[in-house]
Amino acid sequence: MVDSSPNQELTYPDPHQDAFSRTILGFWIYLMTDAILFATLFATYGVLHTSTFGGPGPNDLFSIPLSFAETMLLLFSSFTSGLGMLASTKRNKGHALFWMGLSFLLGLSFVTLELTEFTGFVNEGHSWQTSAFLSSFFTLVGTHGLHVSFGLLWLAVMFIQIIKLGFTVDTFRRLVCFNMFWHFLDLIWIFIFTFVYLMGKI
Amino acid sequence: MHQEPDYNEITKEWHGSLQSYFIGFGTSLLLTGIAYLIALARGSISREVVVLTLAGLAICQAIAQVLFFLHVGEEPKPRWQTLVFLFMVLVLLIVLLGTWWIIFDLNERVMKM
Repeated sequence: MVDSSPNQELTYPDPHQDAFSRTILGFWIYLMTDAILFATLFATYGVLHTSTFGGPGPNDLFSIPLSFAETMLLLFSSFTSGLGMLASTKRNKGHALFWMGLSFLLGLSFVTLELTEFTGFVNEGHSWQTSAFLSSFFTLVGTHGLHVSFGLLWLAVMFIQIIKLGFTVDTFRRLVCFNMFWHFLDLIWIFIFTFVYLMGKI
Repeated sequence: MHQEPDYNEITKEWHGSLQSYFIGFGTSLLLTGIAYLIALARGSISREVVVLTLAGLAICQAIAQVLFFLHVGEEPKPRWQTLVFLFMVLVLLIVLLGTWWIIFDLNERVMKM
């Protein structure tokens, strides 16, 4: 007997053909292009970080304990948002909202700490206009901070959507996208922490 | 034509598990802690060794997070996400190593005072 179906092993749901899979793949491609944007900013920083124009260098400005605290906040936020996803798959609204709220507070603390650091630099007279090093530093770390801030806005919107709309195919898809975005920002931060802050101090 | 899947089927397409999150989180904590201690208590170790070690630790942590947080490589075949990811890594390496090569070569040729 000859089977006419070319994809006999493919049973429903057909992978990658539904709206969920297509959206996730599209959003993933956006994240990959964002990674290339960050790669160009890292390359710029790598080239310019010694060009201090007589001003302060990385070793004079950065504080390892402060950047370590920022790293921990973002890592914990990434982890708790993952736990929120697990609660969402079980349709556990209380747990999901708790983990999302916690991720939001951790992310907000991260942004607050980063803004405190930035205003400290500017108030000491070391703004992005001081040197090529500081321009590239503020561009790289600021772009990441801007991503995190928009992520917080997104998370707040998702929090309200889960309360109002509950767990539907649409809200779950948005949660998965947000979660990918949040993990991705933590991934970028590892490199900022290592290559900007730690290597700036040694 | 097929129907759009419902909530239960959608959640099955997502690959996270409590175990993978704890592995990713534990590995990240450990590697960040080691990097932090190395940078603080560097002692007399040469700068090149420390820089290479820290870069290695960052790359290990990135791989752990890509596998256990972003679940790359777990989707059903054909693995478009993994393929796009690997292409991004290729472009990223060209951008970073290409910049490094061109700029430091220029430095050699032009910036000698």
